[in-house]
Formats: sequence, C-alpha cells, structure tokens
Amino acid sequence: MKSHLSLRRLNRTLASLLSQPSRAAIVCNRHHSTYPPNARLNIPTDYSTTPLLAHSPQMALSSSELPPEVKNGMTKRLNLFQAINEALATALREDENVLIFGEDVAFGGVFRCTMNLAGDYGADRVFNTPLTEQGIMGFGIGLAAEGMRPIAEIQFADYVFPAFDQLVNEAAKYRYREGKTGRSAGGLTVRMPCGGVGHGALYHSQSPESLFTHIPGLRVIMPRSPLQAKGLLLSAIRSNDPCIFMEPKILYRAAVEQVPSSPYTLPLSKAEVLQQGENVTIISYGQPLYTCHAALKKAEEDLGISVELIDLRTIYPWDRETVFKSVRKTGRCMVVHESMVNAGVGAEVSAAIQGDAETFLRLEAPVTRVAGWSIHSPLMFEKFNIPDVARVYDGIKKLIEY
Amino acid sequence: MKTRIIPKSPLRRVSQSLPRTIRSSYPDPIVSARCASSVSQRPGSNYVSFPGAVKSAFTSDLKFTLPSDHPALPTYRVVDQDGNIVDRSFTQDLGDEEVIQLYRKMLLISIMDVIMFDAQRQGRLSFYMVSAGEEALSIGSASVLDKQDVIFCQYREQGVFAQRGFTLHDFMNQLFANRLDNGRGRNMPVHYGSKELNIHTVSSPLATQIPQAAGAAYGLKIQRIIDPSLPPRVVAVYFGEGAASEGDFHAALNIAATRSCPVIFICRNNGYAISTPTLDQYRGDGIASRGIGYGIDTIRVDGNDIWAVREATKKAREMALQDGGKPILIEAMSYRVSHHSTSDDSFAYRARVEVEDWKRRDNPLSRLRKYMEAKGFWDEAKEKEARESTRRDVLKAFSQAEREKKPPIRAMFEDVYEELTPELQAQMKELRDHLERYPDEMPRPAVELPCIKASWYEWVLHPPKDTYLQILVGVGRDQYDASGVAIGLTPLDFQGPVESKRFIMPLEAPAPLIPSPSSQRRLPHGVIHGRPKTICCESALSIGTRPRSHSATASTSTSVSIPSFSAAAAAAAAASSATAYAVANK
Repeated sequence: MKSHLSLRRLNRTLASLLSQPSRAAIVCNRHHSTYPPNARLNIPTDYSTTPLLAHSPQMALSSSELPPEVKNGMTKRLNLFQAINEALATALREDENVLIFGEDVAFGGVFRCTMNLAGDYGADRVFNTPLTEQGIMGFGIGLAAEGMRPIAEIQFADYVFPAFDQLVNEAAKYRYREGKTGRSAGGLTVRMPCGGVGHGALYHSQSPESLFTHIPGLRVIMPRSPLQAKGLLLSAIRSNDPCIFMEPKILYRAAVEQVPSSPYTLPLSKAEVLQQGENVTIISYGQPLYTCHAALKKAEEDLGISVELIDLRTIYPWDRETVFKSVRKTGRCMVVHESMVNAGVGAEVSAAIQGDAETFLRLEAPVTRVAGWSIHSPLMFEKFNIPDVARVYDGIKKLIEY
Repeated sequence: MKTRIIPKSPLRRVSQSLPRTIRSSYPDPIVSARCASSVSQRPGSNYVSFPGAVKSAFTSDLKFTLPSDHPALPTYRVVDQDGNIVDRSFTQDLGDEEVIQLYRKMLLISIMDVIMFDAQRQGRLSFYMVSAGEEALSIGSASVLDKQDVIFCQYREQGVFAQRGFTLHDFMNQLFANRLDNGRGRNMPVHYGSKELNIHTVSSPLATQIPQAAGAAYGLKIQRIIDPSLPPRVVAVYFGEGAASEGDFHAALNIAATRSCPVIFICRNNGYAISTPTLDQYRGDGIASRGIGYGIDTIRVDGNDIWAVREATKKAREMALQDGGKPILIEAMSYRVSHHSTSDDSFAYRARVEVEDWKRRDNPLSRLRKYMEAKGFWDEAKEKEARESTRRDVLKAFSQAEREKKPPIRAMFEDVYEELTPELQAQMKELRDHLERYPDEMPRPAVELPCIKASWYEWVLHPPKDTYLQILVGVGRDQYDASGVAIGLTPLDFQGPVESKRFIMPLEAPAPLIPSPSSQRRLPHGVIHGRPKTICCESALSIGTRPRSHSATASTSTSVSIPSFSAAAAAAAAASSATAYAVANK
C-alpha cells in the first residue's frame, strides 16, 4: 500500500497554505477543508496577530518564568521547527552525552528540525537509523540506561506504535524495575510531530498523547509555540524522566514568534494561565489553544463574559493545582483537544475536576469536552473532526446557559 | 505503509529561503560510507552498482538461491561429549583451580535450580525458572567478559549473574522479594539485576533487551570517544531462539551493524520456546544464518562445551572492539533439559525419554567433569563434597532470605518518576488513610516479639530528618485504643499530644522511654530487643514530617530513628500482650 501523500506535497502545500493571507482560502470552497464564505466564527487562525504568540521582543521577554539573564538578552524571530532546532543545538553544545537520531535526521529531518546539526556536531552524534521505530526506541533506552542523553525522533506520531512496547514496558518501567541499582531510562527524550495539517488523513494526523498519559513513568509534553517549545524541550532533555515531546506539526512553519536567544528552560508539569477570566475555564494544549482563543474572544464579545484559558503544556503528570484553582473560581469548565474524545485527556482532566471535593462543590455546570469524534482521522472530513472555533464557542455558550 | 519519498531538492530550496539560525551553508553529505550519490553504473561493467547492492555480479542464469544448497553453518567445539579435546590448537588458559571454580559455579546454579523448583512447588516461592542444560553457556561466556562490560540478560542466565559475583544471598533476596531485594519487591522471581556487576535488571518482555544492548554499546563507544582514557568495553546480550523471532531482534542486529556497535549478541538456542520447537519457530539455518544477512560476523558453538563457549566469546570480544567497534553474533546450541518455568510441564509436548536421553548423553556439567577427571584434578570425592557444601549454602541463604522482612509499602509508589509527583503523594496518603481505617482488611506482615524488628520498616531506620512516630496500641488485634489506659500506658508516658487513636511520640521524649544517647546502639538489621512475648508491631504507611511546633526542640541526635523506635519498643515492652501498631503520619 502506498500513501498518495508525498512529503513533497505535504511540505509544499503546507508552505503555500500558510503563506496565503488569512482569508484567501475562502475563495475556493469546493472542498470540505476550506472555510465557508459567510463564516463569522470559523475564520482561519491568523498566526501573525494572535496574542498567543510573542510578536515583539518585549512580549517574549515579559514571561516571569524566564531567568533574569535571559530577560535581559536578545530575541530572534523563529518558527517552531527553528526553535526546536535551537533547543537541540543547545543540548548538543552543552552536554557531550546528547545524541540525536531517527529516520532521516542526518540531512535535517523531513520537517527540518535537525537542520545543520549533523554537520555542526558530527555524524557520531546526529545520525540516521534504519527504518525501525522499535529499534530506535530500544537503542535510545539502552543509551539512556548507560548514562547517555539520547533524543530519538519518530518521524510521525502515527508511526510510534511499533515502539509502543519499548516505551510502555521498558522506558516507563526502567527505574521502577531497577529499584536500588538506580538505573533508569530518564535521559531519553522522544520527539514526534503530531496532529492534523488539513490533508494528513489516517496516518499523518494522529495525536496519540492519551495513549502515553495512561503510562506512569512517562512525561508527555506538547508545546503551543516556538518560545514554549525551546524552553520545554530543553527541560525535557535535561529531565531525568523519559519524556515524550509531541510537536504539533501544523505549527512548524505557521507559528512564528520572538524567541529569547539565550538557552532557557520552562517548568515541566506546570500549566500556564494564558488569559485570566471569571466565568469559564478552558483547558487545552498544543494547536487547539489558538482555536480556543479565537472562540473565547467571540464569546466574550457576544456574551459579555470573561474566559480563563489554561495551557496544560505537560499533559502528564499534569498540573492539577492550577486547573482546580481556576475551576474553583469560574465554576464552569471545558477541556479541548484534537484527538478522540473517548478515554482522552479530557476524560482524565474532567474526572479529576469532579473528583476533587472542593472543586466539585464549586461547579455550576457539567464539565464539557470538545474534542475529535471517536473516529479515525478522515482526509476530506478533517475540518468536521478537529474542534473548530464554532464548536468551542458553542461549548462556552452552553456552559454559560446551563 | 509510510510515506518515505524524501524530495531533497525542493526541501532544500524551502529551507534555504528561511532564516538561518546556526550557520548559512548546508552541511556536507554525512555519515554513510555507502552513499547513494557515490554509486553509478559503469558501461560494460560485470557488476551491479545499484546503491543497495554494490558488488553483485550480473548473471544470465535464471537461478534462485536455495537455502538447501548451502550446508548448515558448522558448530565449533573444543571438547567432545566424553571430555576429550578435539580442537588441537586449544590450550587450557586457566589454572586447574580456576577451572574448578567455574565448575562449582555451574554446580551452584544447577543445585539452586532443583531446590528453588521444589520450593515453588511447596508454595514458598511464587515462580522460578531453571537453566539446566545451559550452565556452560552462561558461565562460560561470562567468564571471559571483562567486569566492566555491560550485560543484558533475558531470564535464564543465572550463570552469568553467579559468574560475575552475584551471591547466593543476592539471588535469594530477589527470589523472596524481601527488603534487601534490589528490585524493592516489585519484580517476579528471577528478575535479577545489579549495578556493581554491570548487569541490567531482567525484564519479562522478550527481545526488548536486544536493541537496548545495541544502544548501550553505542553509548560505551561514544563515551570512549569523549574520554579516550576509559577502558574499551563491550556489551553482551543474551536471548533465546524464540526471542529472535521478535521484531526487536531484527531491529537490533540491523541498527548495531549500521552504527558499528561493540555488542556481542549471544543466542541461547535451546530447542524450545516454552513448548514451541524450533521447527515451528523458523525454517532457516538457525539464528546464526541471520547474522550474516545483517552483515554481522557470526559463529555457532556447542553450548554444552564450556571451552568452546569461552574461546568463541573471547575472540568475539576482541573482534567487537576492532575497527572502532562492531557487532558479533554467537549462536550457542544447547538443549533445555528443564521445563520452561515452574508454570510449565514440558512432558505435555515432548517425550520424557527425549529429555532423559539428553541428560544422560550430553550435558554441560558432565562434560566439564569428564574433562577435569581426565586431567586428574577432580574425582568422585570432590564432587560429593562440592555438591553437599553447595546444597548447604543454598539452603542457608534460602532460609535467611525467606525470613527477611518485606520492603516498605511506600516502595510501591517510588521510582515511578525520579521524584514523587503530587498525584502519587496524594495516592500514597489515600492508601495510608484507607489502611488505617480498615486495619484488618489487608494482610500486613506482623512480626512476633520477643524482638520488634525495626528493619521491616526501612523508614524507621532511615527516616528523613524530623520524622516522628505515631503508635497505636491496644489489647489484641481488634481493640487497639490509644487511650493507653487499658494497657497501662498514659499519653504522658510519651510526653506528646494524643491525636485521635494515635500517640504522637516526639523525638525528644525523655527517659525512661527513650534511652539516653550513650545507651543507644544500632542493632544488627535494626532488631530492637524487648521483653514481651506476644506483642507484634505492624505498619501502615510511612513517613511523616514533624509538625513545625515540635521542630524547635528537635532532637540533636544524629540517629533520630533509633530513639523513636526504642521508645516504641519500650512502649511495647510495657504493653505486655498488647498489639502496637506503629504508624508514622503527618
């Protein structure tokens, strides 16, 4: 079986799609994957103006999570793959034990995240592997267990499943199994692009984070932007727990922002409140945050409410305190993610919210989940599957009107 | 199937149009010695020059290559079944005494096999796996590896552990999952592991260790590039012929070959994967033929011949370290004389006579014994003595480990992450609260006095600073009552507040309950002696931190735990025929 989606097309389409003015797609509405002309809510995200990205150095350096020396430094405009490339280069530079490998990483990777690294840091440290995900993962675990700090790339999250055994039965359990010997696979970081790009269909769109959030021992992280990606990836690499770092591939080129030039880390297992609000809490991570932001802006305008937006950032072990604190304040809550709703991250987060006695008493409405339907990712119907602005908007409305 | 069309030039164009972050030129073609662009088909050539096969001669014969055209790979041996040397170039590279030591190690694991198998049958052990028939293979190969070499095992390599210095106590502590077990009571029996001996802990999933070994070997190689003063090291990984059907095996050989990893793959081909005979496992020429397919130097040896295994492994280690490192495959042929595990009865799928035949005709122990007897440094009397003393040692370690205390319940939450997460802390508290509210619903190890064995409570011996104990005391199991009156104690005795059903016993509680510092002594294994006969001490979870109000007067003793527990012992001593529940709490 051959997929008729070539990477050439994927990259080219992605690049051209994203370079168009935001409403240009409306011109052609023959496909389900374009926007209807009269849409008020489902307007494509304009990454050049969204406040979720730091468009100025001041904005980039304003974060309280950055150390002073970084705040006083310079920034540069980077997209997501360039920010990841910077984090990887930093890791290679600061620690000789860091190795980067995977399918096609030597020439720069199909998404360009490892560009120039093999040339700059040597073919012994940045190299191609044969086409075997279970081999890549086993290899990485062995390296980590012998004190190295491997960064393995799985070319698409859709292809991580041959490595599932190694991740679940080996990486996650290594420290637990070893006990007093003190060995672990903690040095391992696994990077993988995930999520829909509009034409990835069944095997280039999946976002399998909830399959890993069920596994104690793994840290599962998904950044929303270049600035976040650089800091979180460095934290993941330095972390002594095995980390799964999932990169929303639609943001590789789409999300461009000012990123501090100096190396810095951002805390793992710590959510971030992106916008304070009083009436509804929206919890999400990765690309849907942009959808959520667009929806809540419209809802705030239309309904005269204020909405709190939380980026989980680390999806497991996740930051309960920040979420509970927010929901106790607003009493209404929605979890939004791209992957299937069944047994997804939303299920875990909403169960935890209602299971916390103090938070439960403050609930004014049932916790809502807006997520992908319980189906596979269909090529022509992606827009109907991934939560859009209208669905999130409607979710907010229902929460308020409950 | 994946999309693997890599359109290099358009991608490069795209990338060059983007801002450069690190350097402006595209890196030189990297790594691969066999790069696609370096190959071209010359006109009139007799050889193929496709990127995937660069030295294949053209032929006009339409002829398929048949496996049956090739003879099976030979099996190397040094000593035949009667103990006679057949490799004329062989010279014994060990002193007689060292040979005896190897033999005694083989004897040790084979005797341990019998005892532990029976112990499982008696219900004293949950599970066991024997390695009868493979003693020469594991001990022979381990005996020529360096102590610094890293080893990954499957689960039938007791010999490797024994040879590298795993003691009988180490084996037994793991088998009984007691508090001294490296695995902290989490793993099934035979899942041994050791940091000092450079052996990774055994994991049940088959073949997962093989690509890990390739990665570990690459790590060793890089570490030596970073620091050339490090000694050269290899990784050895063991697996069965059944595991070699897993994808992980193939992934491992391929990746080890492409990355030139100094790793020795040691396949124990013992004829059976549980019940599946090799005929149902594969149709090629064993596992060895696969090594050649992956471009790996390979040898097949007689696994019953310890000398052959030693010679092959010694040479393999040497080769693995040549040319910057490369993988080697050894297929060691043996016969699994034993059942697969204690959960298996192999006579359901193979004839008893077949097994008996193998046992009688050829087994690794008898072969080395014949060799030693022929050389004149072993005889029946020595054999008898060795077997008896080994058996004694095994039984002694057995009973010691069986009596040893279990690890603390706390250990079940630890080591999931490097640090306990808030979620796990909350769950630990939830379980502790539950156990306190339903004290009789969960089997909790009770240790009968006359001595309270503090060692069960690891946390008591090594508590964090400012730990304090809460003690529940009462008459009999069901009637603990912290009022203390019923058993002649008053809260005053503890010089601390009473909280619900618990005494809180501050560390600075004065004599007589807490001995003066000069009289404190740490007793072996944390055993604290007390007088009463029937008091037992049980534990729920675990460590608490002293409330801030108490910490101002915290004990300055460096051994804070001992006074706490001494007090518990003293309290218990005073509470004859009562039950004391020691619970540390927040």
